[in-house]
Amino acid sequence: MVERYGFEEFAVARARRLFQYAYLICGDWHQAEDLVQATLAKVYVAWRRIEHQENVDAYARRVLLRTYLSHRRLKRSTETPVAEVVAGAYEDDSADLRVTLMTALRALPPRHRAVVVLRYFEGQTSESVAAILGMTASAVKSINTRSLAAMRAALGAAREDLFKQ
Amino acid sequence: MDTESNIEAELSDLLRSITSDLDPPIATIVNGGIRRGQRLRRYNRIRGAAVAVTVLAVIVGIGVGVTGAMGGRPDTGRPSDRASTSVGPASVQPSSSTPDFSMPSAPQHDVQITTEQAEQIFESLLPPGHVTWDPLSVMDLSVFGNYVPAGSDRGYQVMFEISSENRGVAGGAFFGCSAPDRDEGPRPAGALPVGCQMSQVAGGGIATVTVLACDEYGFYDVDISIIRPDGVQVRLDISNGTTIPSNGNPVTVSAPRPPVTPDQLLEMAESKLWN
Repeated sequence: MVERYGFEEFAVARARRLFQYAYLICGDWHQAEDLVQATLAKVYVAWRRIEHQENVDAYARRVLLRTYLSHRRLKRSTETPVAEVVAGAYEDDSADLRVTLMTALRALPPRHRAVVVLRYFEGQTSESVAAILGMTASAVKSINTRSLAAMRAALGAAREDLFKQ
Repeated sequence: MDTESNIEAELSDLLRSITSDLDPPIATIVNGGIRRGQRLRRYNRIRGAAVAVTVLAVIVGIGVGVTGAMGGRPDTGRPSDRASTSVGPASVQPSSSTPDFSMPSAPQHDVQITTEQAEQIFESLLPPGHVTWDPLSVMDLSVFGNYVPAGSDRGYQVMFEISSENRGVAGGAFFGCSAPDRDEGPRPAGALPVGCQMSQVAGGGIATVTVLACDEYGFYDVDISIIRPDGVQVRLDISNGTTIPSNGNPVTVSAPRPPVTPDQLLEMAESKLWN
């Protein structure tokens, strides 16, 4: 039971951050909940092996990302587009900001989105992102440059407005 | 001047800004993660090395002797019909047989149904009752629900996974039997015995029927995995209770046995409705 309490402590402390990360990666509130649950389940299974490692957080992020990138499933027609979820979840002016940015993020291919989130939300270096995603640093930089260009184009005129808020 | 460094700085601020006040249901997520982790750990224990053995049998596409991981003696007898390969509570017990399975070649088939259609199919195959599906449990291919048979107020966890190899999808199906796991707590009186058996099903598919060890609360699953010649994998699972907490426990054990037999669940997995 000691093992379980150790895991619970970790999970409660990190779930919110993992959710933020998942939300940016998948762009859907419910899918983010599911993704974090699936991640915690895998971390739970590996807990005995990893609990004494220095960076369990990084391990959990890797699991989350790989779960997201590798998962394939039957489509659910009732899946809610990100704009609806976000607008429904927030009643204040920040809803517009979220919708605009999340729409731009979601327009990126999943791996590109992962690079952007790791670089700019997690503050990871290109080398770290490369290690997490199993690719070369130069490939990460290339994807990053293209992703930024796509984001810039997608945000367009809204970009200036975003920073006034 | 619109430099890349400008948008990089802006992006960092924006991403932090739009996530700073997200308020996810932490308790729900953590408890769900633990439940799924416990379930995953039980499944992982019984999968083991048997997966590789069976996948080899599937790839070769001809009659291949599959050595039962239960550690038995060779048996060259090939099941000749459905009856000879039926799986019931008694026959699920650890067996020493090592049947010879074959997987006829067939055009690869992709799964076309939606999750909702699959939910409806499974519910239609179950005895009358109602299933409340969990909208969140889809990330790892598995879709979970709570099945309440008609006229009963007791729930049972059900789960399905439908996937196809030619989409590069690796489902969680158990293709093969490994050494049975030990119960973590007292097994309810009248419960199905722990065990696993492989069989060949009509149409050339291979089925693995597994009765899992129970957890510390007496909660366990019956799991059916079928891989069809067209590459489609169907996995159905039903438990003897729900993962709804009660009496301070994270699960509720509703009965010693799930509400359908392994035979019935196998028939459901073989249904032509999964397409």
